[in-house]
Order: sequence, then C-alpha cells, then structure tokens
Amino acid sequence: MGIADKIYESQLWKSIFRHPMPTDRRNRVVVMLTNFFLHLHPVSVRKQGIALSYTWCMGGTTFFLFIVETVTGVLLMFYYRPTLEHAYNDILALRDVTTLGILRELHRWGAHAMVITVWLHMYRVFLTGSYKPPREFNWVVGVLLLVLTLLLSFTGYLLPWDQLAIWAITVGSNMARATPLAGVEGPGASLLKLNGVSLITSGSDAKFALLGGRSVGEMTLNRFYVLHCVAIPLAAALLIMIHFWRVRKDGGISGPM
Amino acid sequence: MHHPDLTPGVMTGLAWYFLLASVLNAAAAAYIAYMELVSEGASRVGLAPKTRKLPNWLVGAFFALYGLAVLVILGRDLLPNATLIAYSLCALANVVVALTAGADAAHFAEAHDAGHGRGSEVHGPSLDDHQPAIGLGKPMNRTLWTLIWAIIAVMFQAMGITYALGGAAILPQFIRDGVDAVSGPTTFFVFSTIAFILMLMFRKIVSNGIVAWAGVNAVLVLFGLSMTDWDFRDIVTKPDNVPIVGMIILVGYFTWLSLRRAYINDSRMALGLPNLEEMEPEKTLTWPDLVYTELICMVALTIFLVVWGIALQAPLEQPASSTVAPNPSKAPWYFLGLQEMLVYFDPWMAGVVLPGLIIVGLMAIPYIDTNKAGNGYYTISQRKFAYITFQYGFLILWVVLIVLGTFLRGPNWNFFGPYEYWDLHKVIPLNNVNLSEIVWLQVLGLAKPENILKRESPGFLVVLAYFLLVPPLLAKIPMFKKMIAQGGWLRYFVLAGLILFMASLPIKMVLRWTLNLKYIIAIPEYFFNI
Repeated sequence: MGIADKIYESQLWKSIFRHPMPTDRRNRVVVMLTNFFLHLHPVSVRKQGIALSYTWCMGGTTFFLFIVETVTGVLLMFYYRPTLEHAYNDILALRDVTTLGILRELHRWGAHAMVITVWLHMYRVFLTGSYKPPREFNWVVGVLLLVLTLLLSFTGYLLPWDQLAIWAITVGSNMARATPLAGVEGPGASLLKLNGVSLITSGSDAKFALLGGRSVGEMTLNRFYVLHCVAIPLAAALLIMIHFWRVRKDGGISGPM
Repeated sequence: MHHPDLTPGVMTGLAWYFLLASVLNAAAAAYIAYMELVSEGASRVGLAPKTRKLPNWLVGAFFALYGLAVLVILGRDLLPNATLIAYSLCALANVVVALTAGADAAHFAEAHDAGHGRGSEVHGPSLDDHQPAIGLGKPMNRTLWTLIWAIIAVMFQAMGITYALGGAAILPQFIRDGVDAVSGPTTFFVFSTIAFILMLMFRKIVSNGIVAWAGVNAVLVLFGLSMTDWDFRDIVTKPDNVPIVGMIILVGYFTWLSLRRAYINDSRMALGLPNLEEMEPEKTLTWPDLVYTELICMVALTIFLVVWGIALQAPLEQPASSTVAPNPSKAPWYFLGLQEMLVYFDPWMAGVVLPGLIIVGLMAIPYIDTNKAGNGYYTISQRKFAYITFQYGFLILWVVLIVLGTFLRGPNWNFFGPYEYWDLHKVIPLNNVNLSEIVWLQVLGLAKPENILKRESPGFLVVLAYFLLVPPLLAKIPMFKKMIAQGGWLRYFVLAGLILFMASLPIKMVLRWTLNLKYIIAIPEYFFNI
C-alpha cells in the first residue's frame, strides 16, 4: 500500500472528504453529491453544454472574479479608512509601503474585468436564446446582478478619493439631480409643493439621498464605503445563490431545449 | 502642440508588439500547414487519421529559442545588449516556424498531387483535405494560405527588427491628418452602423476564418502604426482605458465566433441536419470533465490577473479637490455610452429614463419574445428581429458609444480624431435650434407664442404622433402581425414602446446632424426638454 493510499484510507481524510479519490465511476458520482462546494453541480452534464466555444465560460469567470474581489476587498479593508483625512493616503501607502503591493491592482483590474465578463455572459445567453422558457426568470435575476455589478464598480470608484474618483462620481451622480419629480432639476419637481413650499430642494432630492450631501463629500465616502463593502455584496451574494439554484432547477446547463 | 512621436520606450514596445504579431501569424501558418483542418463535427463522424504532423524538432527549436531568450533576459546584468540578443532569438524562432510551415505545406501539396497521403483511398475523405464547415463554401488552398501567413509573419518580424534597431517607421502624417479630418461623431456613428449592416449581410464571408484572420492582421498593423502617434498613445494607454481595449478585442472575437456558429447552424438546419449544439446530446460526468475545466480556468485567470496587476499600476491621480475640475470630467468607462447620450438628451432622459428603460427592457426580453425557436443554440435566421435588435442595441448603441466617449471625446466633451491633440481651447460652433423655433420663426414666419403649451405644441404633436401612431402602423407589417397573433396586444405594445425609446437615440442623432435640432419639446422652465 503506497503512501497516497494510506492517506486516502486514513480517518482524517475520510472524515473530511467522506470517500476515496474520485478515480472510478462510483466515486466520481459520489464526490459531486457529498462535497459541499461541488454539490452546486449536477452529477453529469451535457457534453455540448460545457464546450468552451459554446459557453465562453463567462458566467463562471464572473463568479470567480466576484470571489477574487471579495478576498482582495477584505484585505484592502485592513488598510483603508474611509475618511477625508486618511482615504487618499491609505491608498498611497498601499501602493508605496505595503509588502506585495498589487492588492489594489488585483481589485481594480478584477473589477473592470468583471464588468466585461458580465456583459459577455449576458451576450452569450442572449445569442443562444437561453433566456427562453423555462429560464425567463433567471434572466431577470441576471439583469439584477448586472445592475449590482455596475453599482459595485461605481461605488468602489470613489474610494481612492483622488481627482479621478471624485469627478467621475460627480458626473455620474449629477444625473440623479435630474430625476423626474424626485430631483431638484428634474421635470415636474417644481410642481411638488405643499402650502407653497417646495418639497424637492437641493437638500432633499434624489441626489442628496445618493450622496448624503449637496456635493460629493465625506458623507458620500462613508455612504459609498458601506454600500460597496457590505450592502451590495450581500445583495449580490444572495442573488448569485438564487441564480445558480435556478440554473439547476430550470433545466440545467444551457443547450437545445 | 508637439510631442515626440517616438521615444526609445515606444520603439522597444513596438518591437515586441510586432514580434507578437509575427508569432501569431507564424502560428496561423503552422496551424494551416500541419493541423487537422476539419469542420466542426467532422472529427465526430470518423474521418481518416491525420496525415500531417507538427514536426517535433520544430516545436523543440521554437521553445528552446524562446527559453534561451528568457535566460538571456534574466542574465541581462552580465551580458551587454542582452535585450537585443534575446529579441533576435525570439525573432529567429518566429521566422524558422514561418519558413518551415511554408516549405512543408508546399511539400505536402506536391505529395498530395502525386497521389500520396490520401486517406480517401482507404476510408472516406482524409483529414488532410480541408473540409469547410457546412455553409462556408469551398475548401481553402492550404499551401497558398500557409505561404501567405508565413510571408506576413516574416514581414511583421522585419518591422519589429526595424524598431528594435532604432528604425523609425511612423504612420505617415497625411494619413493621420486625413483620418482626423473625416472623423466626427456623425461619420463615426454612421460608419459603425454601416459596418454592422455589412457584417450581417455578408455573414457568410465574415464567418470565414481566412477573412477574419486577414481582418485581425489589418487591425494589428493599424493599431501598431497608430501607437507611433503621441496623441493616440496618450489616450489608449491610460491605465483605466486599457481594459476597454481588452473589451473591444473580446467583444469583437465573441461577436465573430457567435456569428460564425449561427451561420453554420443556419446552413445545417436549412439542409435538415442537426445544429452543432444537437450533435452531442450525451452526458458526461461533471468530475472530471467540468470540474477540471473550471480549475484550469481559475488558475489561468489568476495568473492573468497577477501579471496584469504587476505590469500595470492602478491609476491614482492628485488628491480629490472639489474646486479643481478636470476637463474632460468623465464618468466611469462603462457609463460613457450614457454620458455620450447627454449630447443629444437632457440628463433626465440620458441619465435616468433611458438607463431605467434599458434595465426594464432587458428584464422584459424573455416575456416579449414569444418566438419558441432558437432556444439553446446559435441562430440568426430563426430569430432575425430579436437578433438584430439586440445586436444593434449592444454593439452600436452601447459598445460603440463607450468607445466614442472614451477615446474620441476630449475637453468640453468635444470630438477629437484619434490622432488629434486634445486642445482645451478647441471651439466647436453650436448653433442648435429647437423645433418650436423652426416651426414658428422659420416655417410660419411668426413670433414665438408666449404661452408655453402653445409654443411647444408642434413638439407635443410630434412626440404624441411618434408614440401613438407608429405602433398601430407597425402592427400592419406581417412580422409584427405574427407577433401579435402569438403573444397578444399587451406584449406588442410593451415591445413597441421599448423599441421606440431605443430608436429615439439614433433619431435624435440624425435630427441633430441634419437640422441642428436641439430639443423637440423645450420647456426649460420646468426642466422638461426632449
């Protein structure tokens, strides 16, 4: 009996994986059923459905990038303080002082890549008609995930607190000022009055709600930080779970119905 | 403003860039010369074993030369001119592969003509023969195309060596001036739309691998030479713009791949054959087939991200200042299509209503597309309307506008040609007029009425007519008639509404370019401008 076999037969190995290495047909089936992480998959899949020239692997890539963003994001949170006093200098230190200083690069490039892979995933799903019954609702969940991905990227854009950040968010959030009825420069907002007092002012409109102030400032930084690190990732994680669950429930991996 | 077009750093970069272009073409030549060139699925119908083989010595020599180059670079402190020596080794490897592939292809052709190596003598057609996918037409001449890609590989390599040795080939000034002169938002958008239409009309030709590879080479040359221009380089190499260059490449490749697969599928189904996706209905175990694919993808992606992270530093500009606004101030790149819409619409439309409708419209797609065909496989002919609408929206109204907003919009959101200096003081005369002014002042020769509603009545009429009259008129078209019969009126009106909103952007563009029209309805008193 070789060392490898001894390890596979050991109590420790068995207690963790519950079965030997998946080298025969039986164990290859069992591993998919007993492993927590693998049980996301079915035991077997359509050959055509996993061909790269068909699926482009973009959904899986997006999920992997989400994990990369989560891990590097948590590590970045160790170094970064979302205040006007510290934010920019913490980013500078991340670049110049920290050992292995490519954390922010991994996070930023991963984020850009994730936006692109989400689009390409949706592109493939559309071009193969994979949103058609019975997968209609999962497409809707996917569109919500697209929105969350863009919001994640948008809220993260502000955090370095440099010129690029503040002005990109200023340009983006200026749109909120023009929300119909809810923005101070939106059509119809001036009609909303109570006893002659405007309900929608620059201190109470959609832009103010988004920024936590009349312009991009410390409250915006705090607001975007919380959204970026807690609220949106949690919402995205929930929707991702539903998305994967529905892939399984709605007929499995895409292919001719 | 004059900046040096070429610096030593740029020349080194271009030398390696053309080395890459050369190795890609050498690989293409080797692929056509040696690989089993069969159509999708041909390997599954049991063709004869391949008669051509990539020579082991060639593979060995290629990797030995590249490996030696890496060693030379690692030991660059000990060797004078190490980079140039390493470069020469790589270049030699490329040229050897290109020339060998060309020579072997010619030899195979002779042997083939003499009657040797024909698998068909034994059982069926040989893999030696090029079997184009069904629908893609005649087989290609393998010898000819091996030679062509080999020659191009050698030519790219010669360009690379020129840059490595300090030669200064730059994009001729008259070409740059010419491109800048004809560039503009109008020409850019119209040209993209025409290219989109041509791509769909001639999808058989576009699907052809030879044509596609020729296109790749054209882009490689054009991009490489464009990098010799300071202004072009300045914009393209901004760290945050690099992902967009990557996005263009990926979107281009996947658009081509899907177009090709759709065209092959359509041709197959027209002949009553199963489409590519139906050819392998059997299942396979997830472990190891899918799990290992996922693992390999994750490892490759991790390496890619780490290399990218080391090679390119994330941008960090001056500390935020709410008083010093950069010019241009741009939103994050994925929103630049929306920012571009601000040229034609007010923020409440471009920034709120239209983005909202994009999201709602995307979610509505599965519920308004009642076409049962095309579920789970690539096709164009079975779902033409859905395909064209989505492709136009994604490729032209989203990706092309992002490219425009990123690379061609400079200070004050003015348009700049790809080789044009971003001059802060460029003045573009704006003499846009509102519909009310055209109607009351120019057409009727009257003064503009005081009453807002009366003043804007022409605009209201146009907008109401657009949304109320167009859907019933479109409903008379047979295609929409069929849709209504299948899905009912509610689905149809949702669809028509979404399409009309989507079409409002190109319509507004054309009106701007032709009539200088600013607003159809202009009530700035209530921020209500359309």
